[in-house]
Amino acid sequence: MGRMGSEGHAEDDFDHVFCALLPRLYRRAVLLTGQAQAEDAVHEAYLKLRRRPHALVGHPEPYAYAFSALTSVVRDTWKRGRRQVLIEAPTTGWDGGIADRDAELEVARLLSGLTVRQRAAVLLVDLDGYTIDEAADLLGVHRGTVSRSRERALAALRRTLRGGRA
Amino acid sequence: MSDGEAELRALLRAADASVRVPPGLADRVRAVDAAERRRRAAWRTLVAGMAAATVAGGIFLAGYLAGHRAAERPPALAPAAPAPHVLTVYNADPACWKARPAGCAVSIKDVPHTRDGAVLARVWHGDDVQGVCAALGDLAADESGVASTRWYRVTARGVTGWLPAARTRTVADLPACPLP
Repeated sequence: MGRMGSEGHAEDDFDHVFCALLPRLYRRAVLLTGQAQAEDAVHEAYLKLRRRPHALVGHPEPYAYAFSALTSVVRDTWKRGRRQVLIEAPTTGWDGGIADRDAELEVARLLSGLTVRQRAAVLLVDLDGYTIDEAADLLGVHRGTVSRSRERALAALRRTLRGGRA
Repeated sequence: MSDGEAELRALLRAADASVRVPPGLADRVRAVDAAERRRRAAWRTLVAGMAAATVAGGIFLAGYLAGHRAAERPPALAPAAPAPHVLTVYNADPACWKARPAGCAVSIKDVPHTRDGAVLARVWHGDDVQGVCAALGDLAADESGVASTRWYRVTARGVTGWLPAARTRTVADLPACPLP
């Protein structure tokens, strides 16, 4: 009985923590994988994290832990997607015509040359404010990978800016 | 920090701020999990019922062997009724809401892939199909641009196949399909 009660508490705590993180995770999922697949990605991350509710609730930085799980889900989906024939992604009007997505599309272009893990590294460092070492540790990659990812994103940014001025 | 880094960060912040979290996201994300919880609760009830039935059966057997017929048999355990998962097919093209021409049909396929596999059945806007479980497959989008990699295993017109989640607006409370 005690164990079931403890599990029930853990599930409630998990839901509370996850729902508090959800808006932020969803926004990161959009930047990692695009709006069309963001909801599926956070859903899969939820199911993945839900298997070990204590790990999220007890983690010193639940957001970082959840983000790492989200990255893992997106990577797995991306790998699976490479083996499948996808329909052509809709390019205009597919999100209901939201007009203020220029920045999102711009970032998608900047990050398009990076792997999922590299994109995640850029988001952790340049959006969430983690240090390069912290981001590398969270994602289980070498700090050089994070540095190179940022360099590639910056190079893409410079190319975009040059293109815009031409 | 270089100008480039500052610009990158400004772009990332602007992109982050531009994303609108869709309403009802938390409910949808946790929907399958709610079904899983109900299954667990039903399983616990079933196990408890079986334990009670075993104990009652043991008492009955002991009484029978002692020469005493039990006055009543223990009540039969009622099987847990599966929750109905009715999904309503949605076609984003309003021209397909009343007529049912072939061009408005939505395919039920034998695999959750957009281009592979065979069409097992065709359904139209407003048709109800019976949902079985959910899995990930190819990205499929409807005419309005709603897209998802989620596919539902459904039964329709006597066959069981796959319907893209983009072809329904029902918030389905389906369990994950078992891995092949």
